[in-house]
Amino acid sequence: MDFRFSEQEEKLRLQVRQFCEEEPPESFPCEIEDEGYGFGGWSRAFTTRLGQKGWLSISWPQEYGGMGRTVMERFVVAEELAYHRAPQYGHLFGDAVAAGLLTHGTEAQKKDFLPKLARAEILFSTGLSEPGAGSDLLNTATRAIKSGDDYILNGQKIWPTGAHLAEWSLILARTDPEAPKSRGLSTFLVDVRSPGVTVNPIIDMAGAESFTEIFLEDVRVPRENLLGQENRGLPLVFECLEGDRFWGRCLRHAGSRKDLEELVEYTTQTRYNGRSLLDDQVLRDQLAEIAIELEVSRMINYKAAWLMNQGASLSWESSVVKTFADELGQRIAAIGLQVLGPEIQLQDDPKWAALRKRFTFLYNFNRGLSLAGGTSEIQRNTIAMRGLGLPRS
Amino acid sequence: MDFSYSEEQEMLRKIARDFLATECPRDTIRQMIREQTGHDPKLWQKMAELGWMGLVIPEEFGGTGGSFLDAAALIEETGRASLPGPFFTTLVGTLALMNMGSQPQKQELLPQVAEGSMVLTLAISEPGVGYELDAIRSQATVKNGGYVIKGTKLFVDNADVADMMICLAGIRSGTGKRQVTPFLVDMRSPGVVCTPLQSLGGEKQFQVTLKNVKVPHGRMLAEGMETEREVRRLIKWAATLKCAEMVGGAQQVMDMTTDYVKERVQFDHPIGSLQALQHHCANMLIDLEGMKYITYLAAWRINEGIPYSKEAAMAKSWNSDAYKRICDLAHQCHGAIGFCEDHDLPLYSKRVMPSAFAFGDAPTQRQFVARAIGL
Ligand SMILES: Cc1cc2nc3c(=O)[nH]c(=O)nc-3n(C[C@H](O)[C@H](O)[C@H](O)COP(=O)(O)OP(=O)(O)OC[C@H]3O[C@@H](n4cnc5c(N)ncnc54)[C@H](O)[C@@H]3O)c2cc1C
Repeated sequence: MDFRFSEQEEKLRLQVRQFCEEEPPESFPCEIEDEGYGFGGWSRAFTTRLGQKGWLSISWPQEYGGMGRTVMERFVVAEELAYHRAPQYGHLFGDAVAAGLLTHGTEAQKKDFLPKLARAEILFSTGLSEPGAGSDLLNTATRAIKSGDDYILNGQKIWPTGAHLAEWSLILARTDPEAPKSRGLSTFLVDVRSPGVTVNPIIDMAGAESFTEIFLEDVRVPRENLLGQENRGLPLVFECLEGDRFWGRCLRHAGSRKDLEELVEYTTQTRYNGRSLLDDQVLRDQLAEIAIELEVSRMINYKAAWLMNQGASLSWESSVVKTFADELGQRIAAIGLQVLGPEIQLQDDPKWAALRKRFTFLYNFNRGLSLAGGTSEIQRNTIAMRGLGLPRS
Repeated sequence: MDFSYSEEQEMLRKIARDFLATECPRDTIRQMIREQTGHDPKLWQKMAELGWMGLVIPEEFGGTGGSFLDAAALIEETGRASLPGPFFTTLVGTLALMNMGSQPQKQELLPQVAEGSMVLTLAISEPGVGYELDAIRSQATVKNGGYVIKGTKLFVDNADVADMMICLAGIRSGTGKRQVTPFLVDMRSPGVVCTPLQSLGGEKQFQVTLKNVKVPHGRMLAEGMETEREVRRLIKWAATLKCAEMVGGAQQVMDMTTDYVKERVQFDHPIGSLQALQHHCANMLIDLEGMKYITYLAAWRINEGIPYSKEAAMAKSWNSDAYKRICDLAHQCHGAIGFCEDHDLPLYSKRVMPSAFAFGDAPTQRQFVARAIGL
């Protein structure tokens, strides 16, 4: 047993820290000022800068624009960026698509897309959910019909994050309506600037334009943009989603550590009803509990990263990561609100305005995280069936 | 980063698991608990032959010089088997001797522990006092070159079969400062009176009254050390080992529950196919995963000699609460069968609270954590 990072990993961590100090992430313009995931908003400028550093593609093979380094090194970069609240949203979905490209892409696709993704010349969204296919992706109704060298796509996607900010989307569509539901789906790399594609942002309950709806009307997608085999799209999507489940959630402990530090600072400096918050035993207990759960979350995340670093692919483990992180995020937000009290609504105190705004946002936004990327109920189904071998319901 | 036990530790675990399954099956355990002492000297001797008592004792004192992580690995297995008896306290007592004993004390006692002829127990708490050293009232005074101890100790495990008790009592130094100090008290000393307590989970705990018990010179531990710091350290180590014991127990409860819901049929299907129960089981696994890694983190830090107080407190808090949640859900999944005295589940679930209380309960640990994060 050894819970140290290697010398090389620590060196990299220092480089990232130094980068964040020299080029503060908050100095980059953000298209979505979303702080909800615990790893910052969506910023093309910052994502591009990460691309220049080579950190977007750190663990990909060098031949496709990567740095050929380890999964653990990728994790260290992401963890350090999360602590500094760097906007990492812009490349999260590209990461998922890159994972699909690396394992299922044709040589031409890899050579074409990966270097561009590595440099953030293009950004991706993932267009999976539909009005009739949320948890039940098998029910996907968007159709793709072969026509000469192309496919013609028709249908509607709903909830893709950032599709209004990205050039491309990974679209799941039905290619064989006769086959059993799971055997007739395929994935396409779709340029959302193509004729027939309409993307409308949707305002979420935290007030951000984070997700969207996509309408596809006779959209022509060239055959070479079919990712993986025809009618084998579903396993591919699940593989990509693993990226979202793990990489989207494994940063909770790092991002929220800073939140906790700020709440502690607030507690030590604030009096309410004539006494210091420090003397409130209930708040002390709740904040200590959060510190403990963040440490538990950190270890659960490290365990999964360690497994992947050895080349194992995750199954139920990423569901544990995700469920724990998402529900912890909601607890932190609720306790943060409790600590900040009714005065959270006063936004004019320059000292605490940012913290108050942040927790107001988190309290709302964190509700979405136990839904996005597969609901907590679906994760628990996975844990029960794959982690414990329980029979299908 | 490495989350795995070493090959040797895995071997130790496997041998322990197999041994306990054959030598100490749960029917035997229930028998041991019903009987007076909860301790089987024959089993104890076999455990000594396997090298368990000497696991962490250096070779020069008759042991095999294992590490703290080795101890944690073994305790995880005794926890999984719900092994009753004084093994846990003997191991913690051994660590106390190793950390706080003088050379002559180690030379005299450690070889006896290693060969299985010396059973140790711990006497820390008192009526109205948990683990807060300042509140301990038992008092030692210097007399005729030795000591005399007066006081009442609570929740002393297996006091009736222990040979030696590590007992905390205050003593005034030459400057008049009172310091809580561990003494090695021979259980056969006149004035030591053990009264069995009604325990929560079938463990054999005692109130031990010390009526002016004479303790000879040379039986004070931590001489010349920062005594209270050493004692606090020991309590953290013990808490971490208790966490490992809970991890083993929780793993067993998880396995039992998983097996049961796969087998039990209602409405023509295994109840494990029902989502309500699947989610109970998933929640148990999430909690169990957390228990494991936070415990390993604390144990590893102790092992490596890097600061561990905060992590040990975090582990003890989390495990105390998570183990309780796991057992609650396990009972719900088992239905009435798990509610029977003779079922295996209560062997674990009845011990959750004693384990949670041992070496500081969750709220107490969180008070420590609160200070550690700057509150
Ligand atoms: C912030 C946010 C970002 C998102 N980003 C994207 C994105 O980038 N791309 C994309 O394609 N989608 C995205 N989504 C959509 C997301 O994947 C879906 O919301 C999610 O899969 C659930 O689908 P649904 O909302 O239709 O809920 P439903 O599937 O209708 O679920 C409603 C309730 O029923 C429960 N339920 C459903 N089926 C089961 C079952 N089998 N067992 C137990 N309970 C069940 C659910 O757990 C939930 O509690 C995003 C959603 C949010 C909130």
